[in-house]
Amino acid sequence: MAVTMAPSTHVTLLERLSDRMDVQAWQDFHDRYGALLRGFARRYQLQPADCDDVAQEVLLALSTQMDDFKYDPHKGMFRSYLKTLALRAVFKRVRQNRRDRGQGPIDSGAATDFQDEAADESRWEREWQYHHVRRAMSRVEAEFSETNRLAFIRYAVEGRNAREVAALLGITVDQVYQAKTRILKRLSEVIAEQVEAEG
Amino acid sequence: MSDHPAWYADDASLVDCLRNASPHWGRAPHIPGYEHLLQIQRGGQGVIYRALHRATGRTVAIKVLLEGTLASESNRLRFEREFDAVARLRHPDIVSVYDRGTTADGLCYYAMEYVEGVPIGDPAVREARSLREILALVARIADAVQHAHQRGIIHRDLKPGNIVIDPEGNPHILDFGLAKLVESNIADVSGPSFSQTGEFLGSLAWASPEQLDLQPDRVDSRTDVYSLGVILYQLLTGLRPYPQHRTFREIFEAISVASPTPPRQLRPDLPDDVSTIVLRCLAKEPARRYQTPGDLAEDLRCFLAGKPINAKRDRTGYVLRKLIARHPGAAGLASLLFLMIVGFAVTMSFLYQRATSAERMARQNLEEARMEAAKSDAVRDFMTGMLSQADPNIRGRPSLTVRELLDAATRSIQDRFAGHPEIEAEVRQSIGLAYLSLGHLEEAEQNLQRALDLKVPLVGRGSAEVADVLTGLARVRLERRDYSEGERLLLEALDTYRRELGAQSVPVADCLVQLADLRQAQFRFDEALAHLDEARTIYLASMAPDADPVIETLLMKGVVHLVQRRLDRARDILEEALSLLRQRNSNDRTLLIDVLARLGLVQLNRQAFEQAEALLTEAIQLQREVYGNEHPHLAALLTDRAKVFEYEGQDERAAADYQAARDIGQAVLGRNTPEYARATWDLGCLRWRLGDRAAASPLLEEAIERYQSVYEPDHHFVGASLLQYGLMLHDASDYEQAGVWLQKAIDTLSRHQNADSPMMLRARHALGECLIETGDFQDAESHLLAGGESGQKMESAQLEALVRLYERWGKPDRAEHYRSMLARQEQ
Repeated sequence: MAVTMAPSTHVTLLERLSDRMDVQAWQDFHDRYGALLRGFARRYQLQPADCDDVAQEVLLALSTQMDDFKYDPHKGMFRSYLKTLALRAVFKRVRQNRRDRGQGPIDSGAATDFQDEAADESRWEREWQYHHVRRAMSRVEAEFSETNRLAFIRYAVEGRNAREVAALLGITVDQVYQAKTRILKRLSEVIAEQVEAEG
Repeated sequence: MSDHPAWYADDASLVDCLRNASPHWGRAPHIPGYEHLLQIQRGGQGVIYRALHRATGRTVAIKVLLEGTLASESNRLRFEREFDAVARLRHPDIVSVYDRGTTADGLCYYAMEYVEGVPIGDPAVREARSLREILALVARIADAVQHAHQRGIIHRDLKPGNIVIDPEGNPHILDFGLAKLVESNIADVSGPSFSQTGEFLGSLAWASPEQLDLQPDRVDSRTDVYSLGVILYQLLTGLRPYPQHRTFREIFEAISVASPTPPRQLRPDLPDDVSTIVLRCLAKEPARRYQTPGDLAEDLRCFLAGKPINAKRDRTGYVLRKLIARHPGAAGLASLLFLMIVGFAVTMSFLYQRATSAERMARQNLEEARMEAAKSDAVRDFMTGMLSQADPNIRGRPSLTVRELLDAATRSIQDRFAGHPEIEAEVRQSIGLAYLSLGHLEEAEQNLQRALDLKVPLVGRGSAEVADVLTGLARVRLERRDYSEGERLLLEALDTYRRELGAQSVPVADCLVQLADLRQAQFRFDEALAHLDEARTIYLASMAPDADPVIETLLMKGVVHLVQRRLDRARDILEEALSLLRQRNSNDRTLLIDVLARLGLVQLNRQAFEQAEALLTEAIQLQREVYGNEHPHLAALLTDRAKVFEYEGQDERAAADYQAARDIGQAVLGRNTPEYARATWDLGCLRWRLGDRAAASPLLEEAIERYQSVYEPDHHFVGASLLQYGLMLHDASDYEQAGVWLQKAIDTLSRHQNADSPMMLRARHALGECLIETGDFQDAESHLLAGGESGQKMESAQLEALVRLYERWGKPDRAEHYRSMLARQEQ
């Protein structure tokens, strides 16, 4: 495993945050982009703890530079900026791991291992989609009954037999289908909104 | 790029996304033995599912930990160990954990009791409950936490989200011992992770100062007490102790340093005791909180039952003793009220303690316990009545003086408590102590003696209750400088306490402190220090190192060393006391003022003027904040600081402080007080030194007059100041006046001192010199030769004076005799 940090890193971490950065903002970043960044890092075969570090590092960078983006209306800017930060953090971590494993510093030749822009973008795009789905799902969940949610997950996501799900939940097969249709429709709407609002 | 075809518009790709977006979301994990997993909550640590346990048919909650938590083998083992301990907890208010394991995807999970309800932080919980119901609920939660603590399990992450209230109103505590363990495991391996950070932030508002310090070894039972305090605070006020949504730094600082907003400020209808209980939980220093959740629960129930709470009981004995130990002086009505309240609280707590111990010792004897309770009720009613009489807020009633109020109380005792000697004894004792602390020794003694006479037949001379009265009486004796009787009483009380309560009991320590005070007055310093050390050891067995009584022993030790002029030692001890006081969180600053004042004095004596000035200035500032601008101690502090200014050559600032001290003396205390006299004297000396004798002389003469009324007319202090003034006049060549004052000094001193004491000789020689100048040669000779005619013993100034005398007198041979002695001495 890569770095070992003293417990006091908590304090260091917090000290590094600018004073105007408040708790709520941090929580928002965490909720919104944490899983995205971890998922992205995982695609580079990083260990879970390293993925955490990547996410933390990006969010820190983000928290101190957020103002730069607040007023930039250019669509997609934030997404690509976040990708740049994430890639930077991922490469840093990979390099560090190599060094720690005694594989020596990365020379210019080895560095090209990572510089497959198309692959990076495709990984990022995939995680970005998941990111939208997660956000949408957490919004949508609250709008449906527990039975409907359960029916949706069992049938649509887990791919179980509709009849089986209906019996399990004590509803009709038709209701299972309806649950799937309505929730997917709603998810799609919400994601469209999210994408539209994306800075 | 975002120009990708709308993937979210296509069901198949959306479903595909859903399946992959989160490894344990969308696709419920497969956990053998459980079915119907339904995600009910997602958090920083993982996802919680509701599920059915197939074998038992019961509904459970399963928490699947996020990937990355418990990454290493050792973490996993620790988690499992802790889990197994938690699994053994069986308490109706603690959510049971049943099972743990690993999902097919390799994620850790554990199954627990499924509870439906709302988190305790939900406004509905608070709004639906009365104050008493909230207190009872928190007491119940504290009991449950205590249950776990007794089995070695600390929650470490108590927060409103972790306590669920079911529809019947029963609390259920979640995540016992596990939540924080999961976090700290990660920290061990790879530093704080992202998820951990998020979780940490989620709990920040409930974290205790020691958790923010990130000292895991300091997290103990009292950490949970702190969190319970925050929860109680929130239930009572609807707010957290520190404002929310501020920056990290602010929150950190608030929790680590700032005092929480007293809950009463947010909810004025809150009883003071409740506020005290909450604030005690929230003390920064764990040692100053309730030591266990059980103690908190007990105090909440005390309040609910109308009994005195422990949070206050701890301090009252100390406060009273401290007041008594202070210099007695006339005090204003406010301080009287304070005294009465203190005396009342002390009485109440004594009574209550005895009531409970009586109950414990003989459970059958309920009658006795009931009588004790009746007694305490009667005393309370009486005291409350007294207090309302003295309430300065009641209009149209001329504010009563201290004396009048106490006198009125004394008069009404006999009628009111006729036939109830046990109650009269308690009240007499309280009133006696109040008189004592105000310096009215005669009344103090009468009341205490009466209390003693009433108590002895009831409980026997050798009981601890009687010893309480004896220490009061001892104090009266000591104030009168009747050291032998004071000593006898104190030793008897000490003996009794040791026998009745044990050699290590707190009253023994209290008594030893008093004895140390006596030994110091007797100049038996080593014994004083030994007593203080013993007292300190006793206190430390049951109190934190920064508890008031412990610090007070340091304070007294410092003073003993100061008196012996072991200044560096005194400084070290007092600086230790000061640093203990500064580190702890307490709103009570009276002790801090004392320590600052004494340390200031030590630094003054060490001629470390800069430090002395800073210390005294802080003491003065605090004194003003705590007691206002008119308090005898303020006058004393100002006088001390003025002295520092004098040494520093800041004469005008010195004069200003002296004047302020005099003004306080005059306005508040009256002129016949030591404070006024001392400030007047010092101001006079300063003026004199500055050459303004016209202003100085009246001041100095007034001061002497005050000293004569404050102390006995022949008190050695009076003699000393007369001598000092005479010498000043002599040095200024005002021989006529000097002669007058030196003669007065000799008259005064001679009543207590031998004719050849150093002060007497100094006075007589100076007077002799004055008489040479005024031509009274005969008298001059007798004074100058006082102390013997042997030249060896004479100082050169005296020999010079004799030479001068005989030359003026026309006795050249005698003059020659002393001149040759002088010459010999100079060789």
